[in-house]
Amino acid sequence: MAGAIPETEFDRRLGAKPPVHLAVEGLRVVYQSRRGPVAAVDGVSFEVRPGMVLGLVGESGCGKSTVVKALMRLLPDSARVGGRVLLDGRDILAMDARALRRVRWNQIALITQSAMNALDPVIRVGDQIVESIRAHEEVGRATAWARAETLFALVGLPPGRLEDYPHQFSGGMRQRAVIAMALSLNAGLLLADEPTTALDPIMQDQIMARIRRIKEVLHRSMILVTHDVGLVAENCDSVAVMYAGRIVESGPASEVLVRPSHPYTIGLHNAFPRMPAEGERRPPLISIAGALPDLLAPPAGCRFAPRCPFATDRCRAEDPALRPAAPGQAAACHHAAQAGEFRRLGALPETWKAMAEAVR
Amino acid sequence: MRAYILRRLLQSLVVVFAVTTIMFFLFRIVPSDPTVMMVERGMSEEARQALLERWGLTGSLWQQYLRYLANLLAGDFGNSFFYRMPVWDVLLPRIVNTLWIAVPGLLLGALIGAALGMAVGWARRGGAVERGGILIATIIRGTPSFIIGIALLAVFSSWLGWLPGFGMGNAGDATGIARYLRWEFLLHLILPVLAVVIYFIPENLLLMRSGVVENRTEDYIELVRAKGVSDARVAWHAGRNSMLPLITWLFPALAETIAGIVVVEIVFSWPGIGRELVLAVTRQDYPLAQAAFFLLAVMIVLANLAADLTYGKLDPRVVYR
Ligand SMILES: Nc1ncnc2c1ncn2[C@@H]1O[C@H](COP(=O)(O)OP(=O)(O)OP(=O)(O)O)[C@@H](O)[C@H]1O
Ligand code: SF4
Ligand SMILES: [Mg+2]
Repeated sequence: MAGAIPETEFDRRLGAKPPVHLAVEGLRVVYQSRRGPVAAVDGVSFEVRPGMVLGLVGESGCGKSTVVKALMRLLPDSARVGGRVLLDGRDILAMDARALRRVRWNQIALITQSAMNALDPVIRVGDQIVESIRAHEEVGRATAWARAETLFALVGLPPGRLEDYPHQFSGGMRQRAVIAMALSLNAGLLLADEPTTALDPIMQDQIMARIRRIKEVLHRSMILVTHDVGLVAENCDSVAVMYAGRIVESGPASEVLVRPSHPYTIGLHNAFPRMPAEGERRPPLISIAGALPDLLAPPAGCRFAPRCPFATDRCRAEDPALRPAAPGQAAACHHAAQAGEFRRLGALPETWKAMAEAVR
Repeated sequence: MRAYILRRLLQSLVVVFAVTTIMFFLFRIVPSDPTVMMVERGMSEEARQALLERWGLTGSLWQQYLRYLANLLAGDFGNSFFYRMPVWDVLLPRIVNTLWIAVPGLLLGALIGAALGMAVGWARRGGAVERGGILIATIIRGTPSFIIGIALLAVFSSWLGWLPGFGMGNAGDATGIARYLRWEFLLHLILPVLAVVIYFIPENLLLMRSGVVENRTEDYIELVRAKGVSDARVAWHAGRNSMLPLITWLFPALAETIAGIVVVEIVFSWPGIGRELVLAVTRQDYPLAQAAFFLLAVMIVLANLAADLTYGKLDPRVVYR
């Protein structure tokens, strides 16, 4: 499809921008809530290699958006952030305001979760894209506008609609506009925080197809945040599974999704509809009973233990570290060695039903 | 859009008509005879009748009312009892005088108030700027405008002696625009305008602040920050969105503001329409008072209309139906 996009100022100058390398080390975010400090992200480390897509999965409230915002330093002043976020070796968390401003959008761009409210309601969509360009480049409005037209074409929107205000767009169009804006400087790293959650399934597919195409054409590094395991399988090279502020499993998407080592990943896997392989019976949908632990007082030992069908006394006493579980794969589970057995049992609805009784 | 404006104009007409009618009867209900003021002692009965006729005070109340309306439609406000000249000739220069302090005062007050409100709203929550800003604004808002005026007079006029605080200065025999393009006039202008500005700032500041505080946690602000624009530019987005509630308040609040301006005119002996209105009422100069009220009603109604239309300009989501 790359050939379908006409050669423009965008391709000539920005196309050459390389994708970036991101290494997150020991990221920790503590919100100040009314009831006390909440460690919404508690020692998270991962890596995105240039041009690769990392899927960040986990159920609602596990801290995915907090990680994303921390990477761009968008968290409220009251949040305390620790650790290192190395973008091509430079620590974003240690940058002064000027350097940070230059990194934003130039190096890291954001596709937000709620595209419905992501655009300023009283400014023309085109002007909002132009603003992102002119914040970083000494170009005239006309040049920036022309680039916005290219970007709109890239995401499948008629360039004329740049003149519109956000409320004149449908949800899907707004999401596309937000994606177009995220591409305005061809940042080396794209953060897509649940880019399709608010949309209907057909629109979801269209948007994801768009994002895949962009990935192929522009070759960007990317983090795709979602709680949809299916999206990870289709779009990501590697995956990090989050639970209660921590990464409980990570590795190549193909490995982690086919042979999960952590009971939570196994459960997550069961909770999503898949197309059955030929001759196979459609696997039943099984949800993990219970809810995320209260982060104000996380349980001692493994945080997943209250919901884990395989929990032992050791699990309830001792906090498991993230350790290599299989080649290229890491899991935070004391009993990851029995993962094969867990996968077999985890595919049976009875296993999780018993837990549901216990949790209740 | 045009249908909307037309309908709003019609509504406005009804309001103005109602105000005019109420005012007319209100002044007649007051149990006193307006002719007492004009009738010189020892005036013959015929002379008195002739006088009454000339002032349109003969016939039943209804007849007087209808005659008044007819004259009003013809643009004739009648004659002032006190000045013995057409009301319009009395009011026109007073209106101009009022505009001289009201327009700059309100504009500056709104601009400064909005800018300060943006800064206070953008400051760290619970910090010194926010708390101090709110406190000062609340104190000033609670201060009656005559106290503000008197304080300005006391400090800048009496104590420091920097600025005049009484009237507009002597125009000599200058006429037309030359009356105003005098250094002395501009000096006299400063304190009353300042009083209006100070009187008008707090409400603007507080409204703008609450708008910005509300907007700063909106999702779109997060994205604007992510774009790497300057902090001032981010605040501008929040401020731009907060202007909407400000505008809806601003124009209708003109009614209240006019009350404030009347007080300022009285404190500084500024010969404006507000001061004239108060004088007319105490002198029982009905034609003059009625005309002044009529003009105020027209102004307020037009201000409301302007608010509606400005709102539509500022917020693309507004549709006129
Ligand atoms: N500003 C804040 N102050 C206090 N706590 C917060 C704040 N923002 C988020 N949290 C808490 O931090 C935790 C993680 O929130 P986060 O938004 O990162 O989750 P998420 O994984 O993105 O969820 P979702 O899938 O619903 O978007 C939640 O428990 C949430 O209640
Ligand atoms: S450590 Fe224990 S409780 Fe935690 S996931 Fe592994 S088996 Fe379950
Ligand atoms: Mg989220």
